[in-house]
Amino acid sequence: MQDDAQLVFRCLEGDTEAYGDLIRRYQGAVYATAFYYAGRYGAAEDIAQEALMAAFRSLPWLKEAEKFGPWLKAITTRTAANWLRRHQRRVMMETPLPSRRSVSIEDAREGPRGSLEQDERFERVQTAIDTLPERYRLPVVLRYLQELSYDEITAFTGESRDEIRGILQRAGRQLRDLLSDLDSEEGESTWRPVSR
Amino acid sequence: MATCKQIGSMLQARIDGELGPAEGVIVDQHLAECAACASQLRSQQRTAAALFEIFGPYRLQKDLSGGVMEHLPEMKPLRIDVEGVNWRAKTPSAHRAWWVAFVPAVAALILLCLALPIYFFWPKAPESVGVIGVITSSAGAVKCTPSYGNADPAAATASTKGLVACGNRYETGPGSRMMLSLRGPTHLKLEENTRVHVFDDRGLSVDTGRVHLDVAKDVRPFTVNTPFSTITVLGTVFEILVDSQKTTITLKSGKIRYENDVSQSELLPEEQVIVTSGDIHPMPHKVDAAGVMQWADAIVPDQNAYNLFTKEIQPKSAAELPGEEVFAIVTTRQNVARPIAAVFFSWQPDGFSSGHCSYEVRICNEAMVELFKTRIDASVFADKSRNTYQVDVPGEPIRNAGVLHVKLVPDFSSGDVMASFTKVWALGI
Repeated sequence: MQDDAQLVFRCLEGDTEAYGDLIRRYQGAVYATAFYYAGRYGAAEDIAQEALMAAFRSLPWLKEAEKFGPWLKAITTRTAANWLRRHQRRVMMETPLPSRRSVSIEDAREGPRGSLEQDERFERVQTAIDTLPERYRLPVVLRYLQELSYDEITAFTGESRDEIRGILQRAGRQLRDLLSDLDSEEGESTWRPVSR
Repeated sequence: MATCKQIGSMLQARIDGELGPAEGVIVDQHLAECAACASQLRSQQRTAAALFEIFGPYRLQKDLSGGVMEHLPEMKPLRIDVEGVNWRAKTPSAHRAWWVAFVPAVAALILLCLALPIYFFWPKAPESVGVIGVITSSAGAVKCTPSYGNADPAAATASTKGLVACGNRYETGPGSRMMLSLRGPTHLKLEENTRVHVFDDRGLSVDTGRVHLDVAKDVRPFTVNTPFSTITVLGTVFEILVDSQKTTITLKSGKIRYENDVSQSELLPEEQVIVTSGDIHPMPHKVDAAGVMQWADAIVPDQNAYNLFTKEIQPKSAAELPGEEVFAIVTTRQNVARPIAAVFFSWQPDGFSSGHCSYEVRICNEAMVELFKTRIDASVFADKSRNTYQVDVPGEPIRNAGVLHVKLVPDFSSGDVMASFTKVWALGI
């Protein structure tokens, strides 16, 4: 299997099939990133496609071919931001809340217990993710939305594998504390922080 | 034996199947023995499972590559130098041209180079105070009233060689006359019973009396105010007679613009106009200007005073005047070259009986190759009976010269007074 840099050079030489390989390699991550920024509004697929095309157009300006992943992530982020700006009016009409507001841990813990409807559960998860530190959020979405492996996340975000492993470990523990009521299994004594 | 804390930091990786084989064995061994950690694992597993389940419906369902690849051919084909890209990839920071770093410095330098000449060659404001001329002649009862606050006694005297300062007033009594030479050089001759107020080297007012002016050409207009009119000139010879009723202006050469309180008009050479207050259309009439101005010829500058003027006042601007003059004479008529036997000079007569400079005359052809040279002696200009001079071509007449260049180079060894040449022409055979 060819690495990113080899595929990038093949693209620059005019072999568009190589770009197809790059798309298949990164589409999950690009889609998850788009979803992370604008997913609620059902535009993640459009944004992902737009970002992948923008990346193809900008390929000649890619300075370090081996860092294609982080470069693609930056393009995706920018594309999503542009999309949100373009659709600001629509977005504001659809939701009374800003798409990314900061939420305190207490806010996230509250909410109805027991079996929740899918939409409500999703809303809870979204709120919980919003309470995580900024740099934890995208790896969490990449992991749980697209089930990306640690190596795939590393290639896309540019962070080291150990960093990703640490991030997902800490995020996993925080999410477990925040979302302990989501799992339906009864009778299990769940671990809770002392302060609770 | 690993501690619970160490194991705790590996639980998520265990759930995600991202542990190495050795770590896996250690974690599994610990979990088999430690109920707390095993419980923690289960709860974290349930959370992970819940997250996967909740996110499941939003997962990317289709392959995006098809849709994107369909659009790629529509995009502009990439025309790039792959070698260059590789080089850029290897040396990401070195791809900028070396000279780009110098652009701000060079731009600043260019701006400086542009600014310096502007700074140094910006026309200086005329000095409104200070000495602007010398009294080059004074006879009879003359009076000087210095401007307020002028402490220089040399600028408060009305006698010959006295200095003229901005704001001074001069008055000639019955039977007295005087001449002022101002920077330029501009010469003022005052007839008896005249009162003038000198503002600066390009402006004065005549309250009463008769004044003859020979104004130096300058970009700044020369303005004369009289009770009934304002006269504006650039460089010219004229005379003004002011009495209690009217202003009479006589022009010898150049052009004058005059205005009274209701109208304005222009005066041409050899014309005279009488301007009174309220006259809507003063009518100029032809006159023999030289005859009218005859009185002024009697006023000749004192040589010592004029030397002081050329030394102290005029040199400041004399440097700007080219001492050397070149006249061009076309020697062909209707495309036929005319042989030239002599060159003829004429000049404007001046009031000096001596102290003229002599001239070296160089005659050159079209290519500025010198054909011959000769000399006009200072005594020629001192001889007031003439204002022309002929230089004969030595030997054979000049043929096929095209445009003849006549260069006049002053030689100041015999004096400082330069002749004002008016015309140079060639005589054929």
